[in-house]
Amino acid sequence: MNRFSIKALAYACHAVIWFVAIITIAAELAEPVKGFLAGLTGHHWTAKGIISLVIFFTVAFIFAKKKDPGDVTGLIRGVLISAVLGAITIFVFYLLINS
Amino acid sequence: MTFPLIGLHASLGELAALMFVWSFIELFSGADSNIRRAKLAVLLGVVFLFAAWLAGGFYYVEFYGSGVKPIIKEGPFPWAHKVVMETKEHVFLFLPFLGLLAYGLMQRLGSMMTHDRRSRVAAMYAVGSVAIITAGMAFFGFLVSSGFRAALEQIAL
Repeated sequence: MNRFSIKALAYACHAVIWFVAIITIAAELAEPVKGFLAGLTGHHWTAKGIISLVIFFTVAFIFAKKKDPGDVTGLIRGVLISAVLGAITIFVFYLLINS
Repeated sequence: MTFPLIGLHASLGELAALMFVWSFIELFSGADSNIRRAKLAVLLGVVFLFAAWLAGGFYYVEFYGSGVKPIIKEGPFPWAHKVVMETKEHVFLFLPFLGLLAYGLMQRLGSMMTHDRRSRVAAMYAVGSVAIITAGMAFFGFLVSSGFRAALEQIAL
Protein backbone atom coordinates (compact mmCIF):
# COMPACT_ATOMS: atom_id res chain seq x y z
CA MET A 1 0.00 0.00 0.00
CA ASN A 2 3.04 2.23 0.35
CA ARG A 3 3.06 2.94 -3.39
CA PHE A 4 -0.21 4.86 -3.15
CA SER A 5 -0.36 8.43 -1.91
CA ILE A 6 -2.83 9.10 0.90
CA LYS A 7 -4.74 11.32 -1.52
CA ALA A 8 -5.06 8.38 -3.97
CA LEU A 9 -6.44 6.09 -1.24
CA ALA A 10 -8.86 8.80 -0.08
CA TYR A 11 -10.14 9.38 -3.63
CA ALA A 12 -10.48 5.60 -4.07
CA CYS A 13 -12.61 5.38 -0.89
CA HIS A 14 -14.85 8.24 -2.06
CA ALA A 15 -15.31 6.45 -5.40
CA VAL A 16 -16.23 3.12 -3.77
CA ILE A 17 -18.61 4.67 -1.21
CA TRP A 18 -20.58 6.58 -3.83
CA PHE A 19 -20.48 3.72 -6.33
CA VAL A 20 -22.03 1.41 -3.71
CA ALA A 21 -24.68 3.99 -2.71
CA ILE A 22 -25.67 4.82 -6.30
CA ILE A 23 -25.62 1.25 -7.68
CA THR A 24 -27.64 0.03 -4.67
CA ILE A 25 -30.39 2.59 -5.32
CA ALA A 26 -30.25 2.05 -9.09
CA ALA A 27 -30.51 -1.73 -8.71
CA GLU A 28 -33.58 -1.42 -6.46
CA LEU A 29 -35.32 1.05 -8.76
CA ALA A 30 -34.45 -0.63 -12.06
CA GLU A 31 -34.68 -4.41 -12.26
CA PRO A 32 -32.45 -4.59 -15.39
CA VAL A 33 -29.58 -3.07 -13.36
CA LYS A 34 -29.96 -5.74 -10.68
CA GLY A 35 -30.26 -8.40 -13.39
CA PHE A 36 -27.11 -7.13 -15.09
CA LEU A 37 -25.16 -7.26 -11.81
CA ALA A 38 -26.48 -10.73 -11.02
CA GLY A 39 -25.54 -11.83 -14.53
CA LEU A 40 -21.92 -10.83 -13.94
CA THR A 41 -21.23 -13.02 -10.91
CA GLY A 42 -24.43 -14.93 -10.10
CA HIS A 43 -25.50 -12.50 -7.34
CA HIS A 44 -25.91 -8.71 -7.42
CA TRP A 45 -24.16 -8.24 -4.05
CA THR A 46 -21.11 -10.24 -5.11
CA ALA A 47 -20.88 -8.15 -8.27
CA LYS A 48 -21.03 -4.92 -6.24
CA GLY A 49 -18.16 -6.15 -4.07
CA ILE A 50 -15.95 -7.19 -6.98
CA ILE A 51 -16.65 -3.98 -8.92
CA SER A 52 -15.84 -2.01 -5.73
CA LEU A 53 -12.43 -3.74 -5.55
CA VAL A 54 -11.76 -2.90 -9.22
CA ILE A 55 -12.82 0.73 -8.72
CA PHE A 56 -10.73 1.11 -5.56
CA PHE A 57 -7.49 -0.12 -7.11
CA THR A 58 -8.10 1.62 -10.47
CA VAL A 59 -8.64 5.01 -8.80
CA ALA A 60 -5.75 4.40 -6.39
CA PHE A 61 -3.39 3.58 -9.30
CA ILE A 62 -4.54 6.62 -11.31
CA PHE A 63 -3.79 9.01 -8.44
CA ALA A 64 -0.96 6.98 -6.89
CA LYS A 65 1.70 9.66 -7.40
CA LYS A 66 -0.42 12.64 -6.36
CA LYS A 67 1.35 14.80 -3.81
CA ASP A 68 -0.08 14.70 -0.30
CA PRO A 69 -0.67 17.87 1.73
CA GLY A 70 1.40 18.47 4.87
CA ASP A 71 -1.63 17.83 7.05
CA VAL A 72 -3.75 14.90 5.82
CA THR A 73 -6.45 15.25 8.50
CA GLY A 74 -8.74 17.07 6.05
CA LEU A 75 -8.47 14.21 3.53
CA ILE A 76 -9.38 11.62 6.16
CA ARG A 77 -12.20 13.77 7.54
CA GLY A 78 -13.58 14.09 4.01
CA VAL A 79 -13.67 10.30 3.60
CA LEU A 80 -15.42 9.91 6.97
CA ILE A 81 -18.07 12.46 5.97
CA SER A 82 -18.52 10.58 2.69
CA ALA A 83 -18.89 7.26 4.54
CA VAL A 84 -21.46 8.65 6.98
CA LEU A 85 -23.46 10.37 4.22
CA GLY A 86 -23.28 7.24 2.04
CA ALA A 87 -24.54 5.08 4.90
CA ILE A 88 -27.36 7.53 5.71
CA THR A 89 -28.33 7.68 2.03
CA ILE A 90 -28.65 3.88 1.83
CA PHE A 91 -30.50 3.63 5.17
CA VAL A 92 -32.99 6.41 4.34
CA PHE A 93 -33.54 4.96 0.86
CA TYR A 94 -34.54 1.56 2.27
CA LEU A 95 -36.63 3.25 4.94
CA LEU A 96 -38.54 5.23 2.31
CA ILE A 97 -39.18 2.40 -0.13
CA ASN A 98 -40.47 0.18 2.70
CA SER A 99 -42.71 2.74 4.42
CA MET B 1 -23.38 -25.53 8.49
CA THR B 2 -24.96 -22.08 8.56
CA PHE B 3 -24.43 -21.37 12.24
CA PRO B 4 -20.62 -21.80 12.23
CA LEU B 5 -20.46 -19.47 9.23
CA ILE B 6 -22.48 -16.66 10.77
CA GLY B 7 -20.59 -17.13 14.05
CA LEU B 8 -17.31 -16.94 12.14
CA HIS B 9 -18.46 -13.79 10.32
CA ALA B 10 -19.50 -12.09 13.58
CA SER B 11 -16.33 -13.16 15.41
CA LEU B 12 -14.03 -11.95 12.64
CA GLY B 13 -15.89 -8.63 12.50
CA GLU B 14 -15.62 -8.17 16.25
CA LEU B 15 -11.92 -9.08 16.18
CA ALA B 16 -11.44 -6.48 13.44
CA ALA B 17 -13.18 -3.82 15.56
CA LEU B 18 -10.99 -4.80 18.50
CA MET B 19 -7.81 -4.43 16.41
CA PHE B 20 -8.81 -0.93 15.30
CA VAL B 21 -9.63 0.05 18.90
CA TRP B 22 -6.22 -1.32 19.95
CA SER B 23 -4.54 0.75 17.24
CA PHE B 24 -6.50 3.86 18.31
CA ILE B 25 -5.30 3.47 21.89
CA GLU B 26 -1.67 2.92 20.84
CA LEU B 27 -1.81 6.15 18.83
CA PHE B 28 -2.35 8.24 21.96
CA SER B 29 1.39 7.90 22.47
CA GLY B 30 4.01 8.85 19.90
CA ALA B 31 6.60 6.36 21.14
CA ASP B 32 8.21 4.12 18.52
CA SER B 33 6.92 0.94 20.16
CA ASN B 34 3.34 2.28 20.26
CA ILE B 35 3.42 3.27 16.60
CA ARG B 36 4.83 -0.15 15.66
CA ARG B 37 2.02 -1.92 17.53
CA ALA B 38 -0.59 0.46 16.08
CA LYS B 39 0.54 -0.48 12.55
CA LEU B 40 0.46 -4.20 13.38
CA ALA B 41 -3.04 -3.88 14.87
CA VAL B 42 -4.33 -2.11 11.73
CA LEU B 43 -2.80 -4.77 9.48
CA LEU B 44 -4.51 -7.50 11.53
CA GLY B 45 -7.74 -5.50 11.51
CA VAL B 46 -7.71 -5.28 7.72
CA VAL B 47 -7.05 -9.04 7.42
CA PHE B 48 -9.98 -9.74 9.79
CA LEU B 49 -12.25 -7.37 7.84
CA PHE B 50 -11.54 -9.14 4.55
CA ALA B 51 -11.99 -12.54 6.22
CA ALA B 52 -15.32 -11.35 7.72
CA TRP B 53 -16.34 -10.18 4.24
CA LEU B 54 -15.62 -13.63 2.77
CA ALA B 55 -17.33 -15.60 5.58
CA GLY B 56 -20.36 -13.29 5.74
CA GLY B 57 -20.59 -13.03 1.96
CA PHE B 58 -20.59 -16.80 1.49
CA TYR B 59 -23.25 -17.19 4.19
CA TYR B 60 -25.35 -14.35 2.72
CA VAL B 61 -25.26 -15.63 -0.86
CA GLU B 62 -25.60 -19.35 -0.10
CA PHE B 63 -27.92 -19.50 2.93
CA TYR B 64 -29.41 -16.18 4.01
CA GLY B 65 -31.37 -15.36 0.84
CA SER B 66 -33.08 -18.74 0.59
CA GLY B 67 -33.34 -19.80 4.25
CA VAL B 68 -33.44 -16.74 6.50
CA LYS B 69 -34.74 -13.76 4.54
CA PRO B 70 -38.19 -15.24 3.72
CA ILE B 71 -38.74 -16.18 7.39
CA ILE B 72 -37.81 -12.68 8.65
CA LYS B 73 -40.07 -11.06 6.06
CA GLU B 74 -43.02 -13.18 7.24
CA GLY B 75 -42.25 -12.51 10.92
CA PRO B 76 -43.24 -9.67 13.28
CA PHE B 77 -40.19 -7.52 12.35
CA PRO B 78 -39.90 -7.59 8.54
CA TRP B 79 -37.92 -4.32 8.71
CA ALA B 80 -35.07 -6.37 10.18
CA HIS B 81 -34.41 -7.53 6.63
CA LYS B 82 -36.03 -4.83 4.50
CA VAL B 83 -34.21 -1.91 6.14
CA VAL B 84 -31.53 -3.18 8.53
CA MET B 85 -30.06 -6.08 6.55
CA GLU B 86 -30.28 -4.22 3.24
CA THR B 87 -28.39 -1.30 4.80
CA LYS B 88 -25.89 -3.57 6.56
CA GLU B 89 -24.97 -5.62 3.50
CA HIS B 90 -24.19 -2.47 1.53
CA VAL B 91 -22.56 -0.28 4.17
CA PHE B 92 -20.35 -3.25 5.07
CA LEU B 93 -18.80 -2.90 1.60
CA PHE B 94 -17.26 0.45 2.71
CA LEU B 95 -15.32 -1.18 5.54
CA PRO B 96 -12.51 -3.18 3.87
CA PHE B 97 -11.67 -0.08 1.83
CA LEU B 98 -11.70 2.25 4.83
CA GLY B 99 -9.44 -0.34 6.49
CA LEU B 100 -7.06 -0.22 3.51
CA LEU B 101 -7.06 3.59 3.72
CA ALA B 102 -6.15 3.40 7.42
CA TYR B 103 -3.39 0.85 6.72
CA GLY B 104 -1.99 2.81 3.75
CA LEU B 105 -2.12 6.04 5.75
CA MET B 106 -0.09 4.55 8.59
CA GLN B 107 2.44 3.05 6.19
CA ARG B 108 2.89 6.41 4.44
CA LEU B 109 3.08 8.47 7.62
CA GLY B 110 5.47 5.96 9.17
CA SER B 111 7.85 7.42 11.70
CA MET B 112 6.39 10.91 11.16
CA MET B 113 3.71 9.87 13.66
CA THR B 114 6.32 9.75 16.43
CA HIS B 115 6.91 13.51 16.38
CA ASP B 116 4.01 15.03 14.41
CA ARG B 117 0.84 15.10 16.47
CA ARG B 118 -1.32 16.08 13.46
CA SER B 119 -0.29 12.90 11.66
CA ARG B 120 -1.26 10.83 14.67
CA VAL B 121 -4.62 12.62 14.88
CA ALA B 122 -5.29 11.82 11.19
CA ALA B 123 -4.45 8.16 11.82
CA MET B 124 -6.72 8.17 14.90
CA TYR B 125 -9.59 9.55 12.79
CA ALA B 126 -9.09 6.74 10.28
CA VAL B 127 -8.79 3.81 12.71
CA GLY B 128 -11.43 5.19 15.10
CA SER B 129 -14.01 5.51 12.35
CA VAL B 130 -13.41 1.94 11.14
CA ALA B 131 -13.86 0.71 14.73
CA ILE B 132 -17.13 2.63 15.15
CA ILE B 133 -18.61 1.58 11.80
CA THR B 134 -17.61 -2.06 12.43
CA ALA B 135 -19.30 -1.94 15.84
CA GLY B 136 -22.37 -0.47 14.10
CA MET B 137 -22.40 -3.46 11.76
CA ALA B 138 -22.35 -5.79 14.77
CA PHE B 139 -25.37 -3.95 16.20
CA PHE B 140 -27.19 -4.27 12.86
CA GLY B 141 -26.34 -7.98 12.88
CA PHE B 142 -27.92 -8.26 16.31
CA LEU B 143 -31.12 -6.62 14.98
CA VAL B 144 -31.26 -9.01 12.02
CA SER B 145 -30.76 -12.02 14.31
CA SER B 146 -33.48 -10.69 16.62
CA GLY B 147 -35.85 -10.38 13.66
CA PHE B 148 -35.12 -13.99 12.69
CA ARG B 149 -35.54 -15.24 16.26
CA ALA B 150 -38.86 -13.39 16.66
CA ALA B 151 -40.09 -14.90 13.40
CA LEU B 152 -39.11 -18.41 14.54
CA GLU B 153 -40.86 -17.87 17.89
CA GLN B 154 -44.00 -16.83 16.02
CA ILE B 155 -43.86 -20.04 13.97
CA ALA B 156 -43.22 -22.21 17.06
CA LEU B 157 -45.96 -20.72 19.25
